[in-house]
Amino acid sequence: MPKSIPSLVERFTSGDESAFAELVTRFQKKIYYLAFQMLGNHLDADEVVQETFVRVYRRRQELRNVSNFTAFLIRIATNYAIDLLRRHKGHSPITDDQSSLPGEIQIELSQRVRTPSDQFEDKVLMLEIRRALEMLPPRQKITAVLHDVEGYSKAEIAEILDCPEATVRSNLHIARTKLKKVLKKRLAKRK
Amino acid sequence: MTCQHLLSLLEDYVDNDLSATDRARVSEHLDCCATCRAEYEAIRNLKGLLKRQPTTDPGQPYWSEVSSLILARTVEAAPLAQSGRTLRLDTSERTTFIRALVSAAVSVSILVAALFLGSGVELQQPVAVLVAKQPLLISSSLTGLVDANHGSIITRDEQIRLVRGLSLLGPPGAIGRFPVIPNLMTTFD
Ligand SMILES: [Zn+2]
Repeated sequence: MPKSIPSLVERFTSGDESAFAELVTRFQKKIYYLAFQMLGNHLDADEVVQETFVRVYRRRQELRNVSNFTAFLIRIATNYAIDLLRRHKGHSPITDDQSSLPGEIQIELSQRVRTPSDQFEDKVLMLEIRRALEMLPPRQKITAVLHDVEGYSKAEIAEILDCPEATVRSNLHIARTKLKKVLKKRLAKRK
Repeated sequence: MTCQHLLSLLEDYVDNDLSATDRARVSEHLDCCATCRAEYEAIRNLKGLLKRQPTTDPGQPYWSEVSSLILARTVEAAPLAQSGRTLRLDTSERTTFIRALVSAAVSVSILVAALFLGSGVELQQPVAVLVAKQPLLISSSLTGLVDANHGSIITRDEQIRLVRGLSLLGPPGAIGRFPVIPNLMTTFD
């Protein structure tokens, strides 16, 4: 029978380490996908996943005062992703794009498409968007990814980034304005 | 509603974050203003494209591996961390640390084996010369041991037995113990 997240967190904070293992299993994919969207490559996403759970483990005493474990977890992941983005500043980590992915992913990606020209066109477009995202400063980029890619609400993002909702709104607006400018032709062409 | 006022509400409209009243007013304006409608389409298309960013599953082997790694760095590392000394290793440090331990263990076992094996062989040439001729990687660390700490760690007799033993034992890997040994044995004559 699956256990609820709060009860797992409760067991974890009381010293039950099997509960931590289960939390890792439950949340690792969510963190990985989020990190992949923010950082654009497997290696960095992997680093974020590992580092996030190691930090949660070290900070387990704080969990007693945390009402929303998911937000706490995503906040740690997001802060680490921001650190990585700042460290990478000046050289794009996406230049190797898919070449850095394990073989299975490449197969999966290629199976998703219908025709070779469709595939090519779509890949080019997605890469253009990733490049455009890449140019944004960390906080704007992460706000755009959390809201427009991952579908978090502005209130949730405010909690994750520990800032007022107005800041989320303004970062999102600036990010979108920049993206619209860079992707102008692409956005006009689409019906 | 002016175009400027509309634009200030447009993103919340696209995000479905507006009150019903504001929604209706924006909708009404969009129906009759091509400029604002173009802006609306641009934001909507941008959101659509961002939502389509591909997510890729690295596969079950990765998920199992990463959770084992996390547990190795947390739950399994905890007794070490609590024993007074803070041993905080990240992934690469951890790998290096384990490699160093394994390598040290291998070196010790080779040295011990070499001391035993070397005891029966006669040796005339000075140790340093022999070591210099030895075409093995291991000779560099041995040179350091024999020359730099001459006499301080092991006696000369032990040095000779050690080098002889190493020549019989050979390197632990595939560098080729057998092609190397005849080569070394000639240096004994
Ligand atoms: Zn208008």
